[in-house]
Amino acid sequence: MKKILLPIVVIAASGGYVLSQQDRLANQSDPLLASSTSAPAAGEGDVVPAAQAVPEPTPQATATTEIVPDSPGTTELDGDDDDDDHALLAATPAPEPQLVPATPQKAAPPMPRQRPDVFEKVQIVDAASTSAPYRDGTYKGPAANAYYGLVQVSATITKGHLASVDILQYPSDRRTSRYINSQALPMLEQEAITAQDANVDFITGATLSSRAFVQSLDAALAKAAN
Amino acid sequence: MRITRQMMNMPITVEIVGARDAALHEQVFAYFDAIDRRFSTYRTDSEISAINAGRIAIEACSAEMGEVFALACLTRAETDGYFDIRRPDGTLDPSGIVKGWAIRNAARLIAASGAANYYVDAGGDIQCAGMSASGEAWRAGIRDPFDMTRMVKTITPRGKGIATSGSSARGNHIYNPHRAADALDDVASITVVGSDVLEADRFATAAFAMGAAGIGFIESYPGLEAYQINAAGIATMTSGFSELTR
Repeated sequence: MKKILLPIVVIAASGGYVLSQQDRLANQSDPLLASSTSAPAAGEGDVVPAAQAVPEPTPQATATTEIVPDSPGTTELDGDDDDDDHALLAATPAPEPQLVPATPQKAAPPMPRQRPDVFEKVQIVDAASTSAPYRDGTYKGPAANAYYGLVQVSATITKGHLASVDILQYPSDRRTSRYINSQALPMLEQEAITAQDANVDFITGATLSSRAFVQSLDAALAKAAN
Repeated sequence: MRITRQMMNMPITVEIVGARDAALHEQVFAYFDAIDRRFSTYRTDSEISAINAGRIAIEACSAEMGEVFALACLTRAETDGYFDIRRPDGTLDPSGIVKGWAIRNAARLIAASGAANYYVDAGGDIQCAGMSASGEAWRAGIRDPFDMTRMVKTITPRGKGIATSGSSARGNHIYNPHRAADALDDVASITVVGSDVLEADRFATAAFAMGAAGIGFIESYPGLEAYQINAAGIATMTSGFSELTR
């Protein structure tokens, strides 16, 4: 865990993401949600009040489980215990840290799921405002899918102001088979190329000019001669 | 029976399982020769050279040329302009699509005769059908872009078309795989598998032009799979590619 003070905008972006997820989910009754777990994954979003009791979240709020937006190819749990499954199960906003007062929500008819952008609109939050909009305490955000892994922060409010942010999870896991190249492609499988046994009928490769074909043949014969 | 002939500056191989003579093979080679005489930008008397020199108006081109132009236009639209037969100097060079198109036509020529087990390989772009002479599915190797004597992957295309675009065509990366000037994510080659060799060829050409982003484009396009190798020797594959290695 790293305890650092981040620029307000970064914190706001994380908060903005959390808030926007809450807003979106509170207004939807997604048919997918009926079959998903109704309780949030253990430990996510726990509230540890420093001085004040936090009101219980409303039933609608706890019933929502966010299905993480699709990085391409990660639409379903496949049970292989990789980041995709954790992201699908764990990225929930509930129980809410209550950075805004909870309001009762009506169940809305199912709406088609929009494919959300990775970057939600940022709501600039002035955490230094004198109106002290936040309740003191330490609040964990959800483990949010930052497209290349899970990011989770915990915010500590002291005297109504944001005092510090802990980073609980950061995508440092670089498995050899899944990592993004510099072009920020979808997470595709990668491997180092290795020589394979030559039991094939034909070979595909970039077109060799006749000259290159001969040079290549010479090189192969030279190897064979060694 | 398998016959290889050097034509169009590349080896062209035709295998027709069970053929008792070379008559059908010769028809295929004659077809490729006709394609070369019409489409080669290296022949001053080809139709494409006449169009580029202004001796023939594009509107007056042959039906075959018109078909290739139409396919090129479609491919350019489908690839956001990354595939474009118009060179910077304004002349037309359809070689990025003619090869796949011609191989596909040659395969149709063979199939029309009733043969069910064959392949046509022109310079590493391949259309196959049916089974090999040993009764097994045709198997293809992907050449190591840094060492022409090695393969780095084997796939079973099962009738799908295969095409590879790469920098080794320019002859530079074959012999100097560790050029410091190249960024490590520069693409050395991309092999595309499509419903037929025409699809594979036109999208391999486009994907290679996109650089490292090419594999992502192929991933997003239904019906195509690809295996992309960068200058560091790291291969990236589309999510359905592993099905081809079974």
